[in-house]
Amino acid sequence: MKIREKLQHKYALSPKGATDMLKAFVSVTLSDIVLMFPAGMVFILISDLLNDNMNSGRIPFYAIGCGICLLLIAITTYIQYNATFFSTYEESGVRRTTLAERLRKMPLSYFGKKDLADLTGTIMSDCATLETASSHWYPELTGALISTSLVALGLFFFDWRMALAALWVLPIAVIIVLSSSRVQKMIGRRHMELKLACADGIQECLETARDLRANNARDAYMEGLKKKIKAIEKHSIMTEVATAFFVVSAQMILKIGIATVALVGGGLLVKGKLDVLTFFMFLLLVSRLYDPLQVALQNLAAIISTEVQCERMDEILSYEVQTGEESLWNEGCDIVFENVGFTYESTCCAFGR
Amino acid sequence: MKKQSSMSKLFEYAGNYRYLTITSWLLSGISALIALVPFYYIWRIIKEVLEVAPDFEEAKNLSTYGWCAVGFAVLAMFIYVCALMCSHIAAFRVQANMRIQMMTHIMKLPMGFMDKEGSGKIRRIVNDSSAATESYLAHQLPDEVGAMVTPIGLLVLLLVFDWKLGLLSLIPMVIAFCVMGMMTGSEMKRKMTEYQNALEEMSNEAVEYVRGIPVVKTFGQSIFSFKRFKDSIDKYGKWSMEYTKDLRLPMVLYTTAINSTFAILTVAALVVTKDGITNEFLLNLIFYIIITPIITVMLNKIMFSSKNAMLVEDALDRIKEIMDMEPLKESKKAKSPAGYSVAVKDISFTYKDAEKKAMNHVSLDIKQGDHVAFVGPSGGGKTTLASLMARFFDVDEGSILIGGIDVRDIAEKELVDTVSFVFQDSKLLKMSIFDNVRLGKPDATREEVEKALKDAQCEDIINKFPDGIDTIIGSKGVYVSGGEAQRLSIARAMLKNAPILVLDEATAFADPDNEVRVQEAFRCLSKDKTVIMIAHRLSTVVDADCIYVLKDGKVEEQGNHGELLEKNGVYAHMWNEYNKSIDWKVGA
Repeated sequence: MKIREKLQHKYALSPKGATDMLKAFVSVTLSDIVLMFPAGMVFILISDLLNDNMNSGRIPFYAIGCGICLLLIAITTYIQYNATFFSTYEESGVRRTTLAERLRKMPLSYFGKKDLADLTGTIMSDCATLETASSHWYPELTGALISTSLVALGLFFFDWRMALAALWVLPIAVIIVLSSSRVQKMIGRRHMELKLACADGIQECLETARDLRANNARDAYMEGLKKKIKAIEKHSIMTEVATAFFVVSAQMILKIGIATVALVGGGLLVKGKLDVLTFFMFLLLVSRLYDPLQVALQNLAAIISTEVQCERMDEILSYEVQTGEESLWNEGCDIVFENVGFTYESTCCAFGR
Repeated sequence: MKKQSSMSKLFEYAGNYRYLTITSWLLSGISALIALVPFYYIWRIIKEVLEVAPDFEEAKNLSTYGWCAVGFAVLAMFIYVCALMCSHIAAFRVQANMRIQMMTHIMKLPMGFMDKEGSGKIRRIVNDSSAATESYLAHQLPDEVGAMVTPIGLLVLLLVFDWKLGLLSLIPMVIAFCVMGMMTGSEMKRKMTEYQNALEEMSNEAVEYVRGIPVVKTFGQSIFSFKRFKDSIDKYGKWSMEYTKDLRLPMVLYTTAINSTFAILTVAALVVTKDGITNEFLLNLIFYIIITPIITVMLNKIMFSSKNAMLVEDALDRIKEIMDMEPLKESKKAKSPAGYSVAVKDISFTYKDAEKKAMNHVSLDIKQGDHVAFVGPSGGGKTTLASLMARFFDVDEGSILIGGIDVRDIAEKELVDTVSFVFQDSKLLKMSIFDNVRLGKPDATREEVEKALKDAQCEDIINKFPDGIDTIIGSKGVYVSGGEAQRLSIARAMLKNAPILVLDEATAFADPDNEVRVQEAFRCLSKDKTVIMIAHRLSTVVDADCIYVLKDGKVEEQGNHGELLEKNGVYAHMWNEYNKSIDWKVGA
């Protein structure tokens, strides 16, 4: 229950949404694990072939095994699809409505402070990003982490030296991506600013088109707008380079695992401390294991970049709303000001007492 | 075919950057081929081990192969990154160019088109539809090339290894492509469009909702505005649910198919080894077991490609919708007006998609230096007629002449310099008051601006802010009321000093002080000019040289105040009503 509450706070979810997210985690993990079964089948196949153990008596085993594996894949994919897509769309509807309801209760001054584009941008695109994040990135990352950990654990039981040779790269890669989070967040925030400036410029341009035309100011305004649009282009490239730098270096380190498995395995094989089959199994594994992990690393980077959106959402959700009585109980319509003081935000006193 | 056309459209926006896009495809293809090599080396390790077994000391090349595998894997990745860099740079350029071209085009369209479409919707098309092409160009296309090249690489390997096993291992891929075809049928395309429409509607409602909140807070009509937004959210939710439900079965099939290679290889192994196994077959089998997962990886990458392709098509359709709208025609042989009279000759005009004519064979003559007024019930055509004079739209029939020249033959810049328009709901830009005022005359000095502000009775506004005329409109704590905004825009018109002036009087002012100031500013601005006043209060028209009473798109009556009262027609009736209302106010 505790995990559920944590999720609910961190990702601005409803209680049901949090439960659904947990379900998504479980379902993705399940299907990740099921996707490893075929590797097991193949392993048994090779071991049978190597040991010359293949005879017609084994056919039913393989037929049923393959059938069950395929069926399990289909079933878990189905469950995962339901748990991720459906519940997410439901949740983001709830989230949009909650936000809208919240906006209504904000004091008027908030609307003077926040741009129209910013506000609508918050409602619409942030919800869409969080939609993708919670339907794809979070569950996939969590599933990949849990299932990999399980496999890793299993591997250590099998042969800890080889497991070490194959998996040492993993924590390093994760650390690289995580350490990029500060830089990424910084860049992300700047990117958001530029995007807002552009969206705002477009909106302003559309709304004042008539005035711009009536003053021959269209071209001059377009020059300014072009600059804003170009600024995004430039900064996008920078963002891409920065993200690619971290993610790619992490992915390259993953690949080194192939070499260390070959090296350690070869050495152990020569010393007679490792059997051929185990060696094969690890080779098979390193050739497969890293690809899903690469996807997971990309997801991790993407998740880090959503923190900017989460912050903005949080800003709205935590802004002080106007409260008061829900029902009216005044007698008569006299209006009395009693020692009233009021200031517009960050300007000097607009209203004395 | 369809894809081809969207590609060529995208290339148009890319300009020379299209070569970067093409380079990205090439690099991605090369990278996909090189990515196969590490698997070959892993297989070589296994081969060597099997060949020397059980004398493993003979296996001397294991580490070399291991490092070769890493080397090629890193090389492949490096090339892939280069490919993505190229594709991203081009994608960002396409996006920027789309936005610029769309905005440039929109600015040339007749005014009023915005009122009809809603600025939220247009902003979404400009901003988001262009962004929708990004992931397609930047990721999807390079990955698709990779996914297409991989089977070719595998086909080549077939010749080297066991061709039967090779062909078999391609079966899942064929199934996957069939399933993908299922997902892109015309039915799905329609659903996708509906989904996008729901999204668009939601975006529009969101803008309306947020814009309306201050009003809602003042008048408390919360349920209605909230309900519309809520409905659009629900509708969007319904569509996305339906859409995902339709895709569920294909997705399950797709995932199962791309993960089924193992089963096919197992069956093949069982069939072939029925009569005993050869070492060669065993090695080949191991090779395919090692290399086939790459097919899964590739197909996983392009799993959502059909969706993205449809998204791009949809985005391009929406962009085209805007780009196809016809802008006002720029005259080739521009003429300059001789003098500043305005003649309206038998014009008719109908708003787009409207049934009734907004102007129905209207003719009138305004001499240079005349001060005229348009009065009449709202919807009678006052603002429309004035807008046509400033060429915010073009007339359907007849013509409007300024200084004897058809407005359509006057260069736009000259027309704007000749006719100043003070709107009743003038919009200020988010820049300093100084820059706002000199919008119409960018080279104006500070002194000129200050004088214009003074003449337009704006001193009280300036004094309100600590930063004076350098106050940024719309920044923190800076609020300007509607009347104040109109006075600032009068200052704009003062500075521009055009010989013909169209004044759209605001319908209602909150405070009388503001109204007096606006009247004073109008008077000051009108000196020695041809003035067309769109009047909502009759007190301001009494002195006009000629009053035109517009009703149902026609001129009902014309003449000066005295003449019209004598006629005892529509105007006289309005005048009586007006005076009665004043009596009421005084009485109250």
